[in-house]
Amino acid sequence: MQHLISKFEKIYIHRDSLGSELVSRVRDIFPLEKIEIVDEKPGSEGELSSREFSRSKKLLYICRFEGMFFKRCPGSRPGLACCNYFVLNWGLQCDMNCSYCYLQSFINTSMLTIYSNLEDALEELRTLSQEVGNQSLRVGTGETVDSLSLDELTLYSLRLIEFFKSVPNWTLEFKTKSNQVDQFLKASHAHNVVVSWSVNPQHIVEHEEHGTASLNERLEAARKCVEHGYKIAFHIDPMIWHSEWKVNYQLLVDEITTRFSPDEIPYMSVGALRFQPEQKAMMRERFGLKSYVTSAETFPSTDGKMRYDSATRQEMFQFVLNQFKAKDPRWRIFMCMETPETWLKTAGSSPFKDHSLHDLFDTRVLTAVNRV
Amino acid sequence: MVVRLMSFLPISQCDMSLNFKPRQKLSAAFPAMAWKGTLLAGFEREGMALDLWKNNGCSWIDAMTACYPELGLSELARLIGALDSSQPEFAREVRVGLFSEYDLRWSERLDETLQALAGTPFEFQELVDDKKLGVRDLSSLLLVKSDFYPFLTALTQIHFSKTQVVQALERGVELFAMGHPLNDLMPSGINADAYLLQLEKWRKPRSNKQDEEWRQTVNEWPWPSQVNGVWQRFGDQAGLEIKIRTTSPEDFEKKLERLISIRDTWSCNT
Repeated sequence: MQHLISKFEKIYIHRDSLGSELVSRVRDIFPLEKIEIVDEKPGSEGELSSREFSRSKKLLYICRFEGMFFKRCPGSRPGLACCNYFVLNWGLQCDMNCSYCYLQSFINTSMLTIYSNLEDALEELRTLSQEVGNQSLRVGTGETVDSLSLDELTLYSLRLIEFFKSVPNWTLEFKTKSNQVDQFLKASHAHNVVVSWSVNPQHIVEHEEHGTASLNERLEAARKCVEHGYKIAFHIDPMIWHSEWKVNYQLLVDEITTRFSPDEIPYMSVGALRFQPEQKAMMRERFGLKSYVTSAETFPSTDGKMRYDSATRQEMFQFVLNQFKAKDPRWRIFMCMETPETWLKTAGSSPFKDHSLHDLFDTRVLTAVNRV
Repeated sequence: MVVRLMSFLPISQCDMSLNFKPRQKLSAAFPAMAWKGTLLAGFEREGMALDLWKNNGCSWIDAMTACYPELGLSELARLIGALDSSQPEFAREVRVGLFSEYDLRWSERLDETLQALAGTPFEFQELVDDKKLGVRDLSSLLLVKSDFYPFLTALTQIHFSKTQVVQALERGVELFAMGHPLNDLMPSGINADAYLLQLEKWRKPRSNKQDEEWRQTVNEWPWPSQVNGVWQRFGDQAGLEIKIRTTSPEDFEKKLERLISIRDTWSCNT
């Protein structure tokens, strides 16, 4: 736990959260002098400076969340072919430090926040399960926080895994760049939990994904999960162009395919670097122009995000797809946050027509959930 | 009837530390204005100043906004800089209220931007206010040190639109931070479009090279007469833009048939 203790300079606990399990754990783990009970959120709100954004990763705020925990994936908007994915946000801000992190585009709070009332989130899921519990639904927790990097502290994975035993048709997906899995390995589960890793070549991990687990550590954690009956997935996302990209992504494919078989990985996704234009200033200030991300040649895309030229994206996707398929045609790979045109040019078909990806892109489920 | 005398004091006895070089000269119809002995408006004048505090007890912020209903970002940068230097505690006390009067929310980011702006050459500050640039437009200034200031001065010599200034500034700052020598980046002419295009080419050399190769290739294709095809970039996509001039359905059909051969040529090239 020492790494957790040194990770945070200060922990603020809202008085409303004092009776929660999370706060009990925090009080057990952290020295008293780091903890302060508050009646309202300390610090300022509004557009953060780069210094404030960086510091927000070292200040932890625990409070109740009074809104809706559960929502559609942001990829589900006109113009993008999005998989059948929903998100459950139990916090805001990440303790790791990737140069391309999209949280830099919208976080306006000066602390990493964890919501203490996970039971309310589970109640939302319970209500939803009464309507669509028998349909397949994917629920992820890694949109506004890393699913597992702080799980050793929250132990939320255990409560979510327990709940998902009651909805075997649903899939729970943890998405992480950490190797924090030991805390839930021995939990009983309904084999509907996917532990997924966002992966990149080790060169990119070192250059752009600061404070994350190394590629080797992530793959070793994935192996542990497989051995304990969990499904795993890898998201090669965001692929980042650099002069040696082919060599490095080849190495990544080799690492994955020598350590895992397609049978062990239900699906993988690939995506390329993308970011909101307004995020660029924060990235530049925090990581300079030596970063592959800030120095990238990007252009405004139809959805307003900055992306590589479409031909470059296709070349990168095609390369990775080909490498996997050359190793074994059974690898199932889809493209994340991409336009139908890119699907057609890269994979040769729409994801909605690809039989092997049919479960992921089943629009009937989206329709059903929208009704609820 | 009670007649209250207006409270004037000699400008020569006023504290002049808040002279932030406002762009708008005070109307000749009004006297110079002061607040608690500090001159707020009419810095270029001699004679007497009306002390708004003594006269009607108004707050400093009310006095400032009465003198200056509108201020550009550079003027605000100079004003808060002057106030910070002369009365730092008072500056901290009034800054949130002052900036909200000018529709700006005080934050560390705003403070950093204003400090960066206040350090730039005066001509550049004038350009910022002429073009009414905002805080986000100037975010790249946070990467800039004084060795880049000649570039900022040079930007004032070109007739840019507001959008073009922001683009030129951002590209220039990024290229300099990526190691391009300042001398190469300095504008050699006054054509804004041409200069921006050059900066874009330097900033995106790989994409530019590919586009240029395609442009040349497409140019050599056997286009039918009165059909013009050019390689164009549309955001993150690049492709052919074709213009056809046609006079009849028969002519149209002929041209389309000949365009099929262009498609085949294109297929061979990809």
